[in-house]
Amino acid sequence: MAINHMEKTTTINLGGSAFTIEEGAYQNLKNYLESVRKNISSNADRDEVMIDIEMSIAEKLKEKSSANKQVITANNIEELISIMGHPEDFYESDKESSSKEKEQSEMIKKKLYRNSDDMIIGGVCSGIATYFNIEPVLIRLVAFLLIFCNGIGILAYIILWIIIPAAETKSQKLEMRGSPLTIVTIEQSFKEIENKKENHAVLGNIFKQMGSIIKRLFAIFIKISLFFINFSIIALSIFTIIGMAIFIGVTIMYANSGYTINDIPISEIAGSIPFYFLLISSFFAITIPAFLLLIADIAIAFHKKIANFATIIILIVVWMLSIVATVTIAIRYAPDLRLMISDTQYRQTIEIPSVENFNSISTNGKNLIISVKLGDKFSVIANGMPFDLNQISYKVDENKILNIDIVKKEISPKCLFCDQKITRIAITAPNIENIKINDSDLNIEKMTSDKLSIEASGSDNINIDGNIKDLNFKVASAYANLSGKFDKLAIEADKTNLTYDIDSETADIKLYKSTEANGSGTIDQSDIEMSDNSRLNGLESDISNVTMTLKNGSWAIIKVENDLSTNIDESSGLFYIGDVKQNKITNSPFATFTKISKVSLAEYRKNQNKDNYFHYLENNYKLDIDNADSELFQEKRELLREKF
Amino acid sequence: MTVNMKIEEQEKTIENAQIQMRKGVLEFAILLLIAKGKIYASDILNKLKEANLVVVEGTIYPLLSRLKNSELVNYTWEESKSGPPRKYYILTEKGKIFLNQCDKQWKILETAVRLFKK
Repeated sequence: MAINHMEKTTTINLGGSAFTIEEGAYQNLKNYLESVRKNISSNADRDEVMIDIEMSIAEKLKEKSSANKQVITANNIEELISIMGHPEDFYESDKESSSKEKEQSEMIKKKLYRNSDDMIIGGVCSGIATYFNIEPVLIRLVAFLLIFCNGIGILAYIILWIIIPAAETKSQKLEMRGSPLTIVTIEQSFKEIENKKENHAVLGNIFKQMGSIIKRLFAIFIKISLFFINFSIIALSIFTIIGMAIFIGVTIMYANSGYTINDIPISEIAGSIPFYFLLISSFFAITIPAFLLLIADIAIAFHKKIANFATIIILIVVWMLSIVATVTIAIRYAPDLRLMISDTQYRQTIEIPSVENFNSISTNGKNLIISVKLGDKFSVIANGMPFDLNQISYKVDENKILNIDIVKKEISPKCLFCDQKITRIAITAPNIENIKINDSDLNIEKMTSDKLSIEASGSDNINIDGNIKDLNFKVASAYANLSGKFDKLAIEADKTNLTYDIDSETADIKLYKSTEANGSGTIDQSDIEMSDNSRLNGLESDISNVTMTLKNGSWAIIKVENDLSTNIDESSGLFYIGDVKQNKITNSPFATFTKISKVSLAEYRKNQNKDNYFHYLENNYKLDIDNADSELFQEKRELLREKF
Repeated sequence: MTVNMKIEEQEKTIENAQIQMRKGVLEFAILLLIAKGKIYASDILNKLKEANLVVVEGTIYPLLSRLKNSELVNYTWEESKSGPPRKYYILTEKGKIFLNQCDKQWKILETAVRLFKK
């Protein structure tokens, strides 16, 4: 007999006789006898039966080995098992009284595995459930709820996934369930022994293990991603469908109610279009894809078919028709609807009756644009949405002040989106002395007047244009434009963006609290006071005589012809143009006080690389400082760039 | 796949029925063999195999042990020429009574089966 491979042998004592047996065969025999023992009912005298069996086996093996002094091989053992029978044949199933006891005695030790036969993500939950012999749903529910405890569920799941091995082989699955040992287990363990024989290299084993860990991590990653994608798709689809249904329901409810949108009854809007048809078609247009997505996802993820092929085809056809219908209606009716919703059609112009005998105006409220002009008669004309017009009150008080206020009348509870729209109020009066504006916009055009005082705050747009002998303009937190001809002008601006273009004999200008001003025009005598980071750009404004007081980081550029008096603190600065007589200079020694002069383009081009030449607001200038070094020029240029 | 499973299941049911019938008779058959005179376990097995009552030997040993525990059979050790001493089984008085009852039962069954087969 040819010997193919070397096999370690061992000597055993079985049933009182000695045998030489291959080690592999010995292992098999040992396993076999163990599982046989487990299968023998405790009702029988187990030890005695085992002795009987061992003796019987010994007798059979002796027949084989004594013939030609052979060593007992794995084949012999297999043959023996086929004669003796599988371990479960030793089990007497008809003994009912002892079956329960037997069951327990035959339970092999349970081990915790991930259940690869019943898994949603990694089989962790069903593995645990199998171990404790409870419903997997319960464990899954607990795991799901744990997700909301700072994500403990997710972390725990991943850790368990990594540390608990999957039950892949048959014997592992049996161990997972704690099922009785059968010949299947034996066969499996034989195979595993053989597999082990093939892997002698330790290093190879390590690589194999690392490979399997990486594979498992990768699989975990894929599974988690898939789970979240699935979850998102399902949630998205369901929410879309439910959301759309709610939306349709609410829309129908409102359409049949007396509600209005900005004074337009919803029923009127709905009546002008194929309303219900549009609702149904848009419902299908949006929900059918969501539904298809849902069933596709369920089909792929859970292998469950919800809808058959015909249903899907019908759904797709309905969907296409819905899309066509929705788009057609939208294109056809969108312009009509826009016209309807836009306020132009619904705006009204009304004349407010019996508002007379006032010489002052005081308004309060956003979204009002007040225009004031002088005329022979008193008149107040308002233009706006009826809803808004209803909310404005006009009252002339005993001081001859016309008070315009927005009163929150009890809003019709059935009005949706009733936000205020712009209301224009045109006021005409023979004489106006005071205007006080709060939040409203103000327009004064071409007004000729002797004396006017305007106080405005919080306005987005103030436009004053006129020929007013004595104008007192006080403005805060606003955007203001002032232009016209004045004899005596006083401006006080806080936190304001001010532009003025004025022709005035005297102008008292006070710019406070980060006011930014751009000035132009001509002023004979001016007193300019600035503080708190205010800016004035007066390059376009010609001033004859000026007194400048600059405090707390205020900066100005001005053009002046005759006299210049300044008082500038160390954080502020003045750049000026003009050959002036410096009248009264009480500057801080650290203040910036620099003369600049406008130069022609030709001169600038020639000298533009010199430090004292610079380009500013489309014009060309040079710094006029006697005997200054280039560093000082640089510094002044930097300041100009920085401050303006 | 489902068809295969059905066939498998069917085969299993048939196999189960056969096993049940054989097991029912097995005890009776062993007692009959032992009743003829003291007999060695291997000889019992050979006879049963001849009669196609057992396929594998594993079934016998626990059964013999149980019969002995129920005091239906007993055994004696006898020296053998070719190895360790052997167990020879004999029927007890109780076993004889039990066998008698089995025999009666068998006859009833036999009559019943014959009757139904007609």
